[in-house]
Amino acid sequence: NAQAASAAKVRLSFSSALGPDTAVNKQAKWYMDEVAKRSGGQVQWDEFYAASLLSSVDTVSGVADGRADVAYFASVYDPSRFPLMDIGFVPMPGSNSVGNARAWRELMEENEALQAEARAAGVKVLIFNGVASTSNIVTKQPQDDLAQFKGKKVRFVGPVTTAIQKLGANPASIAAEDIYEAMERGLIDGIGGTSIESVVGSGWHEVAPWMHYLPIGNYASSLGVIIGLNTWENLPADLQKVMMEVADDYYRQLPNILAASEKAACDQLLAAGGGTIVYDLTNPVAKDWVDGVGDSVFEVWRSNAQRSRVSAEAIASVEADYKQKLLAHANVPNYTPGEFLCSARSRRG
Amino acid sequence: MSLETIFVVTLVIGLLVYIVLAEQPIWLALVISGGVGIYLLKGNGVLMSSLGTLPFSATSKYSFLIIPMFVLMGVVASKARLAEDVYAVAEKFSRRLPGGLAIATILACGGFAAVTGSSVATVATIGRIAIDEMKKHGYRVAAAASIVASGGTLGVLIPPSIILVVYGILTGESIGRLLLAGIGPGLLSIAVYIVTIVVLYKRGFFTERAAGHQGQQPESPALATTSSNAIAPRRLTSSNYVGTAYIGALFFVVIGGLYSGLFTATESGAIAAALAVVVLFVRTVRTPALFLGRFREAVSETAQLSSMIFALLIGGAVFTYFLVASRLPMILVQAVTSADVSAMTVLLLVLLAMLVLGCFLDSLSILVITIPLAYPVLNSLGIDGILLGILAVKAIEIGLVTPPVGLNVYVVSAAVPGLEPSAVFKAIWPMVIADLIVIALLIVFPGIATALPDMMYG
Amino acid sequence: MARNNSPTAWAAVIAGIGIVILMFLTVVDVLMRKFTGQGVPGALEYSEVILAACVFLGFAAAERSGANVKTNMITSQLSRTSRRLFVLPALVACIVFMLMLIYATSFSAYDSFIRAESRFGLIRVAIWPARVALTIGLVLMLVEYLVNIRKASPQDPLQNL
Ligand code: NA
Ligand code: NA
Repeated sequence: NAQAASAAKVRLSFSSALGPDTAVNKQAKWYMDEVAKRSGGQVQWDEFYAASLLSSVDTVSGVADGRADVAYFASVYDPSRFPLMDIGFVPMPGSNSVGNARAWRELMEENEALQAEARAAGVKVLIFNGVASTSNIVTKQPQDDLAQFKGKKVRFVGPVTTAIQKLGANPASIAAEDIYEAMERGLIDGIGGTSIESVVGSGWHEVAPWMHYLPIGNYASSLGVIIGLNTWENLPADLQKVMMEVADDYYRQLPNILAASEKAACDQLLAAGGGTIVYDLTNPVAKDWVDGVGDSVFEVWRSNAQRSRVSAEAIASVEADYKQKLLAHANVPNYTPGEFLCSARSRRG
Repeated sequence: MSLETIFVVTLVIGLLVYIVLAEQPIWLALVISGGVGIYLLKGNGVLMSSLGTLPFSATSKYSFLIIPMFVLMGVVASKARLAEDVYAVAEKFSRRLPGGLAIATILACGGFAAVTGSSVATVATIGRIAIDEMKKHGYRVAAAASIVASGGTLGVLIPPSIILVVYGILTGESIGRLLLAGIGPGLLSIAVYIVTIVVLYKRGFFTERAAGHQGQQPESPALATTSSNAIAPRRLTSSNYVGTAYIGALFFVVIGGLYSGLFTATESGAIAAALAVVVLFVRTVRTPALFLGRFREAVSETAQLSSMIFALLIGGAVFTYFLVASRLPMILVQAVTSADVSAMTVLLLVLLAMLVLGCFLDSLSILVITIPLAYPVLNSLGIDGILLGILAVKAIEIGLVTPPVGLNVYVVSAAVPGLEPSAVFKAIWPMVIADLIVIALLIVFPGIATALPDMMYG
Repeated sequence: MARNNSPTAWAAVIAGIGIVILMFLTVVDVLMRKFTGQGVPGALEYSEVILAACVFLGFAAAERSGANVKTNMITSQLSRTSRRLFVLPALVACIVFMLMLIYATSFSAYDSFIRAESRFGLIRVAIWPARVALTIGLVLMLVEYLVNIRKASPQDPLQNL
C-alpha cells in the first residue's frame, strides 16, 4: 500500500440541504467515512449541511459545475433535469425502502435513458439512499379509520397528491420551513409524504406523533449521493474503485442501517405519545382507495416527463423497468419496514 | 487554515471595504469581493456558475414574500397619515409629564413601529411632526431631533420588522418567533427611553443652549407646558383616535394572526398590507384621485425598497458562498471552541463589531456581512439564536444614530431646515447610553425577549 | 420627470403591480382555505415566481432613485480629482461584474426555458419568466448605473431612504 500512502490527498466537499442527523445524511456519512478509511486517508471530506454550501434547488447544477464535489440530492430538487428519474416519486404497491434502493442501483446500471439523463445533468450517482416509507400521513391524534382523512388539510407535494385527493383529503402546499408552525397552529391537519425518520429528524413528531402508513407502496426513492462527472473523471482510478466497492458494501449493509434508524425513530414517536398505524390492503377502505388510484399517479409522471420534452420510448422503457425492478426487489430477507415493527409497539388510548 | 486561504480571505475583505468606501452599491461590493474570492479558490467555472444561479435561488423563495408585504404595509400606513394621529394621541396623554413632548415622541415612534418594519421610515414620518411641535414649545432642536432619531430604532424592534425577517432568512431561525421576541425588548426600550428623557429634562437638557450650561435647570415658560397657555395645545380630533385605533388593528392582525395560528407570518404580512390599503381607501374615499395618487406612490416605493433589500440578499448569497467555501466559519467555530473563551466574551465582541460597523454601513448590510460568520460561532457556544437576533438588531440600530454615517440622524436633520447632523450627533449620547443599558438588561434577562415566543410556540 | 416613459419606469410599474397581485393572491388563498378548506391551487408556486420577477424588475428603479445603499464617508472628504482616481477601479469592477452577472444569468434563463424548468410542489409552474426578468432587471440596472455615473453628483444621504 506504499503507493496509496504516497499519493496526493484528495479533498472533496460534500453538500446537503438537510441537517447532519437526517437518515439520508447518516447514510451518506457512513459512505464517506468508509471511503476515507479504505482509501487509507487519501480522501478527506469537508462536510456542509443544512444548505450552508448549496441550496436544494442549486444542488444538481452546483455539483455539475464544481461548486461542491459530492452532494445529497433528490430528483425533485431539479425535476426538469430529472424528468425520468422523477419516477421514483411514484409509489409502487408492495415495494419497500431497502428493495427500492437496490432496484435503483440496477436501474441506473441498466437503463440507458436514465444514464443519459444523469450524464446530461453532469452528475453520477454514487449510492441511492434507502428511505423509510413516505406513503404516510402524520397527525396529532390517531385516525382509526382511513375515511377520517376526508376533508382533512394535509401537506403534500408531487405527483402522489393525486392519490391523496382520491382519499378525500385536501392537499395543502406549505413551504417546508413553515410545516412545523402550520401543524402546531392548526393551519393543516396532517403532514404527508414524509418518512418516519424525517418526521423525527425535523421535530414534527412533537406536534404530530401519529403516523398512518398507507398501502400505496414506497416512493420518494430517487434520491442519493451524487458526484460531479468532471470531479469523478479526475479522480485516480484506484480511488474510483474504492468508491464503487464501498457502494457495494453500502447496499449490503442497508437493511441494518435502516432497521437501526427506523427503530430509533419509532422510539421517539412512542416517547412523544404517538406511534404508527398500518393500513394495509386487508382493510376494505384502503383496498378500494388503492384500486381507485390505479394508474393515475403514473399518468401525472408521464405528462410531466412529456412536458420536459422526453421521448415516448424513454418514458415507456423507464416505466417498464421501474415496475419490474421494484417488484423484483420487493422481498428483502432480514428486513421488515420500521412502520410495521413500530405499529406492534404503538398503544392507542 | 492554509496560507493560501488566509491570503484570499484577507484580500476579499480588503476588496469589500475598498468598494464600499468608493461609494459603490453595497450589494455589488459583496458580489465583487465574494466573486473574486470564489475565482481565487475555485476557478472561473465555479464563479460563473455561482453568478448564474445564486441571484435567483437566493431570492425566489416563498417565505421571502413577507418582505414586500411588510414594506407595503408600512408605506401605505404612512400615506394614510396614521403617524400624525398616533403622535397627537400620545401628546395628549403625556403632555403633563416632565419632558412630555419628548415622551410623546417616543410613544408615537413605538406606536408607528407597530405598523412599519423600518427604522428610517419611522424617523422620517414622526420626525416631521414631532420636532415642529417640540420646537414650538421651546425645546432645543438638536435635542428634539436626537429623541426622534433614537425613537426611530423602535421601528425594527417592535414587529413588523424587516431586519428581523432578514435575520431569520439568513439564519433559518423562525421568523414568527423572532417577530414575537421583538415585543418585550421594544417595550423595555420605550421604558428606558422615557426614564432617560425624564432625567434629561430635569437636568435641563432640552433647553440648554451651550455646552457650559450643564446642570442648570431652566424652566422656560414655553417648556412648562402644564402652566403655560402661551401656545395652544394641538386640537385632538376624533379622527386622531380613529387613526390610532387603525394602528392597533393592524398590529393586532400581525401579532394576533401569529399568536392564534390563523395564518403564517408571511400571510399575516399580506393581510395586514391589504388592511392598510383599506384604511388608506377609507381615509381618502371622498377624493378617489387622492387615494389613487397615494396608492401609486406607495406601490412604487414598495417596489424600489423591496428590490433594494433583495439586491442585498443576492450580494449576501455570493459573499456567503465564498465564506463557506473558504471554510472560514467552520475554522472560527473550531478556534473559538478549542480556545475555551466564554460565550459572553465572544457575544460582546460580535456586538461591538456590529456597533463599529454601524458607523459605516446600514443595518441590512451589516446583517448580511456579519451573520454568516457570527451566527455559527455563537450558536456553537450555545447562545440562543432568537436572543442573538434581538441583540444584533439593538447593536446595529445604535449605528443608525452614531457618527459618522448614522442614517437616522441624517434623515431627521434633513427634515429640519438649518439643523446640522453634527449638532444631533452631539446630543445623541444619552440615548445611546440608554440603548446600551437595554442591551445589558437583555443579556442579563434574556427572558424579556424569549418569554413571549416560548409561551406561544413552546 | 422626463424619463417617466423609460423602460426602467415601466419595469418598476410592473413590479409594483406584481406586488399588489401577490398581496391579493395571498389574502384570497387564506380566505379560501378558511371558508372552503382548500386554498388557491398553486398559490405558493406562483407566488414564488411572481415575487422573484417583481423584485428583479424593480432593480433599475432602485438604482435610479438611489435606494441601493452606498456610503460617501471617504469620498466626500476627497478633492474632485483624487475622488475620481479613488473611485475609478471600483467603478470598473462594478461594470465588469454587472456584465458577468448579465451574461451568466441570461445563460441560466435560456437553459431554464429550453428544459422547461419548474419547481417541485403541488403543481408545476415554469420558472423561466422569472429568470428572464432577472436578466432584464440587471440590464436596466446597468443602464441606470451608467446614467448615475454621468450625473456624478455628490451623494445626498437622504437618497438612501
Ligand atoms: Na416595526
Ligand atoms: Na452610524
